[in-house]
Amino acid sequence: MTKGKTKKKQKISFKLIRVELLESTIKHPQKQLPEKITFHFNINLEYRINLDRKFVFLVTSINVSNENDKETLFGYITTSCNFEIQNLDDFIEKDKGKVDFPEEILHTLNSIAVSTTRGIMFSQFRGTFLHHAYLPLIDPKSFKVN
Amino acid sequence: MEEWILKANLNLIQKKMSKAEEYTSKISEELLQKLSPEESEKIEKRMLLAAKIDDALKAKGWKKKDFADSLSKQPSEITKWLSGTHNFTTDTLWDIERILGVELITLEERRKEQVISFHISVSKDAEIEAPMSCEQLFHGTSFTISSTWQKKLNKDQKRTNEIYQA
Repeated sequence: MTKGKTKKKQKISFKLIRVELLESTIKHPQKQLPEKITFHFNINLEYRINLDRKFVFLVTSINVSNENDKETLFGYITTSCNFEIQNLDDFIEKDKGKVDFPEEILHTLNSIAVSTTRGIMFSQFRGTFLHHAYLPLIDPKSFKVN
Repeated sequence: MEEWILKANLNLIQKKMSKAEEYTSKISEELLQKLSPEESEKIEKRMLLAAKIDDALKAKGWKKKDFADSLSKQPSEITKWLSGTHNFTTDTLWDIERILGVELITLEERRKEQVISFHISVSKDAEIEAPMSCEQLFHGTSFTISSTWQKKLNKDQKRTNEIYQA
């Protein structure tokens, strides 16, 4: 990942070719919940880049728990947004043979994946005790690289 | 009746086993044991190559003769190729690749999948409508059964017990 300031703005030509729901789980709490609760969301984004097929599989996993008891999971969802990046070769570092996306592109893709998952998550959890546990808005710049 | 069907099925299975499948020979077993792991691997790869060519022919809907004609070869040579014993030259393999449209020799190094991961944690306040725990859902509520239904249920339970005891 390179800083946007140091490099010229690069154009990306991409398509969202597939959205998949990989996993969805709701675990009803053993104890009664308080009427007012603070939900905690743990979000992981994983890019799996297939250089030969110019595909980027962006797997988003979200764990929902109670802010006061983060170890007890209420729900879990995993989705995959599959992108086809037509000019993927433009982002390959020739000496290392690895993809180095500028920050702006990563922010765009992160934002699409999180928004898509927010919608899927709501449709999966609606009508359950997690009905109001919809994902808040997240600044795509605040993601940290693992 | 059941015994007769079973016997008939057994006969059918026995008939399906060909002589070649049943055949075992000390000489062939000894020869196979004498092969080094490198030689075994080579034989296996030759067989896989022949199988790949055969699959490509079937996918194209070609017979051995069509393939032989396209390469200006004799059908007997194709038979040898498909037997898995032939030692191909690279030129022949490239000709086969071109005609059948399959990849038999890989020259480009396959690039591995790259993984990048991100993480973030966020929290959100919410109000839950009528929250209910598992205990309440499964054990908390009670209901009553009318006396006539209770009698019927007892009768059914008795009958079930009798069947189990029998």
